[in-house]
Amino acid sequence: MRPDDIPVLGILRQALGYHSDRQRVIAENVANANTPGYVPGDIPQSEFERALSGAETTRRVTLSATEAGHIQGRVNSGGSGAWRSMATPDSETTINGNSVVLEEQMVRSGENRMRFETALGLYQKSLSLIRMAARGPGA
Amino acid sequence: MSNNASDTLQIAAAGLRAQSARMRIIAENLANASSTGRTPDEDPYQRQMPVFRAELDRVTGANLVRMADVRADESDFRMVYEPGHPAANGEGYVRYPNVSSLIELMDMREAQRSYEANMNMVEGTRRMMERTLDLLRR
Repeated sequence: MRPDDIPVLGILRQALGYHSDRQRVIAENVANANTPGYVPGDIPQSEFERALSGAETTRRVTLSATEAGHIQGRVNSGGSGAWRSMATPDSETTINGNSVVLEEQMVRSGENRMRFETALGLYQKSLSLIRMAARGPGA
Repeated sequence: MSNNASDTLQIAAAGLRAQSARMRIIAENLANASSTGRTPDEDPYQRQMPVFRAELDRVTGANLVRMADVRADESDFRMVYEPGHPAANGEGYVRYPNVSSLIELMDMREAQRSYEANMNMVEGTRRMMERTLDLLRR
């Protein structure tokens, strides 16, 4: 059994993946803050929800074993974390066609980091819950 | 996921590199703000401008920023009346570089601000990584 087989942990892992991917996209925007013609991107929440709808219903996909010697393969269930980033211009576009506003990106990055840490904290708590359950009584 | 974080760091590092290259060019411009030619025919120093471009990095699949080109500013030179100068022309005017310290200072502030923003991303990503690693410690 893998940690991902527990739905809570699976979903939280998706959330962590989503936020670290989003951080990457924001870093790209910030790095290109002075590149002419650059339009910043972002991964909207709806992308995460789309991937999550696959993760909630933990449908297990298994290879069919028609012979005794076949090895049971495991296929990762749920979304693979392949989100698309979309062009989301900030509130201002400079004369050279660049629409990155550093302040907005910083806000986005801060918010993203906060959510990441929330998910991480929940993950940690869930793990310690499992640990507590696994510990024998009175130990 | 750790891969992702190192990608993020690489992207931010590319931003830092580009901005510090820009700072170098600004320093060059400011240092040469009064580098005239030695003779009236010789051109004075011409202001340089960095050109940034987003380039797709095949390894990370991300848009890394790179200083693609350094172009010369084609605007007119400043004419200063200085008859005793060796580079003065027949009417006593000397051609000075087309560098305006005000514009350079503005550019410098912008470069600094972008550099700091990239640094901020590095710091934030580092903290995210650290917090993830904390999972192992308990």
